[in-house]
Amino acid sequence: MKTNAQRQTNLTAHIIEFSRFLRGKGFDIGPNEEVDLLRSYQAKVPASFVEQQHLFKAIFVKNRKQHLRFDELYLQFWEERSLAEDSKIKQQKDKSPHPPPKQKAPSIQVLKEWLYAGRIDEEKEVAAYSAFEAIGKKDFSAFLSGEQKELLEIIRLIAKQLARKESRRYVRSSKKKQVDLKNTIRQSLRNGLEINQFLYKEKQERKVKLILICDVSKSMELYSQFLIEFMYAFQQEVHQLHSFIFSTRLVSLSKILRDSDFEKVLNNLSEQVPYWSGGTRIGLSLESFKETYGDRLLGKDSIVLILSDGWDTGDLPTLKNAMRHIHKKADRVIWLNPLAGNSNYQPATKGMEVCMPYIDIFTSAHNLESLRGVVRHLKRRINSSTTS
Amino acid sequence: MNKPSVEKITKLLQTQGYIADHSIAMSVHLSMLLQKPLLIEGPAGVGKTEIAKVMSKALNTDLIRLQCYEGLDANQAIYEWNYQRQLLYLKMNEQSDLTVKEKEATIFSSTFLMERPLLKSIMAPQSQVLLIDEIDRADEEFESFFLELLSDWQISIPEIGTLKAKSIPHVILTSNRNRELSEALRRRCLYLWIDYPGFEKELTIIHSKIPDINKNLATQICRFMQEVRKMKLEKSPGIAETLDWAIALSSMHIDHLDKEIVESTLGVVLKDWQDIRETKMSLSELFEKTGVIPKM
Repeated sequence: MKTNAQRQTNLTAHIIEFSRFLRGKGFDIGPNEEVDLLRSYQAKVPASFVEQQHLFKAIFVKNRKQHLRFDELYLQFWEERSLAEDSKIKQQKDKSPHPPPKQKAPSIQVLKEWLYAGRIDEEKEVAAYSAFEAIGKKDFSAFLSGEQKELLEIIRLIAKQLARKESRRYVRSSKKKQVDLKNTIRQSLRNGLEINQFLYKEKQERKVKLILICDVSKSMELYSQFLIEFMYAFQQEVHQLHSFIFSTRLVSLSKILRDSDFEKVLNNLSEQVPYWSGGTRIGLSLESFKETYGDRLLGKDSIVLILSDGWDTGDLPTLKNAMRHIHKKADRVIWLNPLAGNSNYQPATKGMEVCMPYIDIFTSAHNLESLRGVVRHLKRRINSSTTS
Repeated sequence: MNKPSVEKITKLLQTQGYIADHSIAMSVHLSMLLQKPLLIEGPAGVGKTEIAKVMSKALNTDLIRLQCYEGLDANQAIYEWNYQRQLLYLKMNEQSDLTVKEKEATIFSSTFLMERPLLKSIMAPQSQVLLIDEIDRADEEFESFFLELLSDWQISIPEIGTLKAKSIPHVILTSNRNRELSEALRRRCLYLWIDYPGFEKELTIIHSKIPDINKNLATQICRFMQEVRKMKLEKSPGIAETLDWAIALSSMHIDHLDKEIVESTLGVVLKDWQDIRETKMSLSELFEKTGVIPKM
């Protein structure tokens, strides 16, 4: 017969073993959780296997993902354990007999083809009276990397406008709008509690999270050079930026684009991202964004910037649902469409039609001049929304 | 003090009209036993906030509530000095013989301290229920204010020093997952996910809250709600909506669902016009799935 001490040792061993098992599955379990579990056993030993399961779950689970996985892992652990105990032979399961298939690294040629596809030859020259104007009006389908500096300057302005959002928090201000009693009294402490002057405060500008989602499908090929430069410049300029590209699926580029060396960025893009110039599945890609990143990134402090021509070959209800969700969760949805620069353009593609009700700002992005327009537009919209 | 067992908690909550399954009762029990905050996540309207309310009633204590919102800061959550009063005091004592040190000691004493919910909850002589509601609405930076309180049960006020808890409150945090909460905060809490209730549980809740409701109507409402939640809606209805609907229909002496009634009262269940439109378009299908024979 087992003594109490033996039972206690066994229980501790089981808890430690199970904790290790869960840690191996990605659960963040430390000694605190193990101690909590032992303390709750001291108060009352669970009456059944299910009660024990609830107890373990309440202490070890820390988020929803773990909540969804726990029951299965719990059963798996105890099943394996009882098998091992019964037969006294540890049946080592061959858990991964087949190593995951190695993904063929796409060659840099694929990216280069996408970047320069049939474009260099048809570079458009615009006759204009100054070099500045020439750059300004040149369509991005003929964008050259030398124009980066100008682009960077405009993106800096866009980022500045987007980041302008008033918070409820206050900062000290020179404008005599609202008296800051707290700091007035604190300052008086230094002057022997004499209040010589009042200090003032104003509402702080809020940090905004920017989410940039770019379409790199076949139909956007003409604007590929611009897209890469645009995303790179944005990432360099905005600290809280999350960049994604999509054609038939969504890929996060934030890590790659953070490198300060543009050449290195291009190399990494070609090595790690095989999805250039495919078909377009905006709906599925945005749905995947919503499912994978939505909870973490979307909120009233986030602005979603989508750069796409809106051609979609996918399922329209999926696109609609995803856009509706993004629009509802984010502070604003801005859609930049390179085709919108054409004076005859109407957002009449089916994908675009479905998305329009969920877009706060829809504007063109086909040359530097149009990007300056985006800055002006944002200034007007943001000023009017803060005054209203 | 003896902490109530899981069974006792289930009964205590039930006496207050809250039907708790085993996992909920276990989490509440452990939270009280280990004196750890309980972080509850789940869709809106499944009864997360209600747990704190019924706990305070069952334990016969006050409910101290901190409703979180964007921009909430320590002044509104923990404590604030009464600056107006301090200013008045200083002005009134400008000509007095009090030294600067004496004046400082007075204006930073408890007389001038305004206790906000977090400080109030630990300064109470007996354990209270502290509800920190919709923590995901507060800024990420704000979470750090909780950490000292939730792990050491103390609050540091620079002018006074560290205030240790006179009693440890039963802390319930709720979140609708508008943003991910920090790992540091999660580590300090027990975690509970509450999902939409299954058919049986929802029916029990209706009967417990509205004892006079027609049995047939209650069953039809539950079946209907279970099916509506399977639809891809912007905002699925929670148990709160089920109860509102059941109360509304029951008070109109309705004993079964039909197309006209559902169409005219759908606004009680769904709060988004597109959800209402899509549900109205799928009514026949919904009736078929729920086994309701609609009177056309």
